[in-house]
Amino acid sequence: MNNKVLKAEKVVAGYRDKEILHGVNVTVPRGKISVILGSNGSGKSTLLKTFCRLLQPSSGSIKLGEQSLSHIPTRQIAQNIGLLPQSTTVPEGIKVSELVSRGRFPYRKLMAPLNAKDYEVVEEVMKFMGILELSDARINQLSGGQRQRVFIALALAQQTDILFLDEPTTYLDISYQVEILELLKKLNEERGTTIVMVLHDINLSSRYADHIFAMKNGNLMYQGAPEKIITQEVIREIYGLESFIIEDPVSHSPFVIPKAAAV
Amino acid sequence: MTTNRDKRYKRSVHNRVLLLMLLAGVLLLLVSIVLSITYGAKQVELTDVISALFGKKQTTYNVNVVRARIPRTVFGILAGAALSMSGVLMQSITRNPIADPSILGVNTGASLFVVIGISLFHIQSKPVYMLLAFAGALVTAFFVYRIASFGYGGVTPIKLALAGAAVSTALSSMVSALVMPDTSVMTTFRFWQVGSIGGADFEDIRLLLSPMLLGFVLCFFLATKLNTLALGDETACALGLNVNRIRGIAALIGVLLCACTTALAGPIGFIGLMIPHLIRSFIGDNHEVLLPMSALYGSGVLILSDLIGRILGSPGELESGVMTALIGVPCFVFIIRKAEVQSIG
Repeated sequence: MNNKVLKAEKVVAGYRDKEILHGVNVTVPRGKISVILGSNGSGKSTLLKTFCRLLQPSSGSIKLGEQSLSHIPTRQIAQNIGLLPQSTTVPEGIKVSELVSRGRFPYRKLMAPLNAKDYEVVEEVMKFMGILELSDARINQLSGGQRQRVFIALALAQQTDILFLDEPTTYLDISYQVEILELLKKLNEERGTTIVMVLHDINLSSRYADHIFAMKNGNLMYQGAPEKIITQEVIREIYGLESFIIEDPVSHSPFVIPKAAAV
Repeated sequence: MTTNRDKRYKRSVHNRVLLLMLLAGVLLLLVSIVLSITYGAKQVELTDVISALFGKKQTTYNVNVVRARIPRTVFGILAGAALSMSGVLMQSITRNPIADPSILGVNTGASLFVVIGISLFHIQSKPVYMLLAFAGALVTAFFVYRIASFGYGGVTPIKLALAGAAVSTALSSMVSALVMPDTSVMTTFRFWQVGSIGGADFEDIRLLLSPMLLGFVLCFFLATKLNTLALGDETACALGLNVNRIRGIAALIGVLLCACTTALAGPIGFIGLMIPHLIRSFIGDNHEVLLPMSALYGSGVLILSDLIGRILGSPGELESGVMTALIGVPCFVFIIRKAEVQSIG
């Protein structure tokens, strides 16, 4: 299963009879952190959902290697592609370790309890996310940042090479945002996990992304390294915003200073 | 090393809670079975109970009284378990902690069919009522599920709850329309409608046993999948769960279990709402434990309610459906208050 390339081929998708994506071609760069940028309604979340088969493309296809996702058993996909959705549901009264262990679902056999390997993986991902000491805590006792780490651990317990995250830093304080993005960077560097996420913050995207997909009105407009994409022209075209670009003093990536929206 | 010992200790604490609950549940069930056979409107001696259970030949009046209590007790065990497990399923698929087995209109559907049978076809036979109730329950549940599946996104928890509520309301007004104008229909219907396990005999139980057992077994196959479904549709889907299929199967089993009970006993409220809620507040939302534990406590509580109804209503009896609500409401208020305290603190 390893080293298979995930790509969208001429994907058209949307909700009900409203078409949102108008034939998008995207190849997810392996072993990189990619960020999908775009204004509200540009189709970035829709693209992510289509990649994670929460939405079926009405034409075109998502391919993992040579196979279309619709031809791969859903459990097998779940062993290759993980997702942290934008909103998560917390089951009542269960412990952190129990929640993380539910990420083992794609590997479990019918009626069989968690095995030694499952426990090992759960412990290991909790250690990686720095939540091992929280394993007996209840979810509702956690801070926003801890909670998000628990849910990323759940997705990691799935042991996938590719991880999608839909706005993982929304609703978090700036310190937690950076903390989460640092953890994702570590995940990418130490394990080579391919990460694709939707982010709203252009400057954090610019700092952490290896590759940026810039979307507008359901089409992929530009893609490439942040230095290539985060420019006055592209920001104007994608967001309709006039800006200055300076250098981020920490990461030396482009940093956007907004002027005023073009009316 | 310390962390390992810590962890083992904590796991054993968790297991101790489970073990205690299991023991208490088994004890509750055993005690209520013994009491249900021994006590009732008619007082009998312990020797009569023993000879009813073990002696084959004696047929004194008291021995027969005791023997007559056996089928209702057996059905109480089955019905209590079925209603509680059905409640767990319905609460999971609608992701609504106050859903009960009748949320898909099972009980009102059964009522309507029985009323139609009584008022339009003048049916007076119990097996036919059972059949009508069972059919009514299934037809209504399918209808509700179908309505909920219209529109974008398939069957979602909120659409299920809304469709169930709307159909239930419509059907109960149809039931009223048929019952109100005719006192004789009212008289026949009201005994069915209150919900009592007292009418069960072994013939009825035999009819319902296989669908009920099938439902119980399938529930356990679903437990892990329901745990995954509880993480939300998107996460569940990303974990490789076919969300719509599992929701459909769980609904089908939940309806089957509830319909079996309603067909014989009429609608019995509160057990399916209260028991899963109560058990969940102790052990958390883990279906692998929640389902069997709810079944255990559901059986015990239903038999006990039935017994209390028999004693309080003596020389007649109060139907189990009345008793479950009378006992259930204070418990429920207690739970809600406890939950409030938790969310504040």
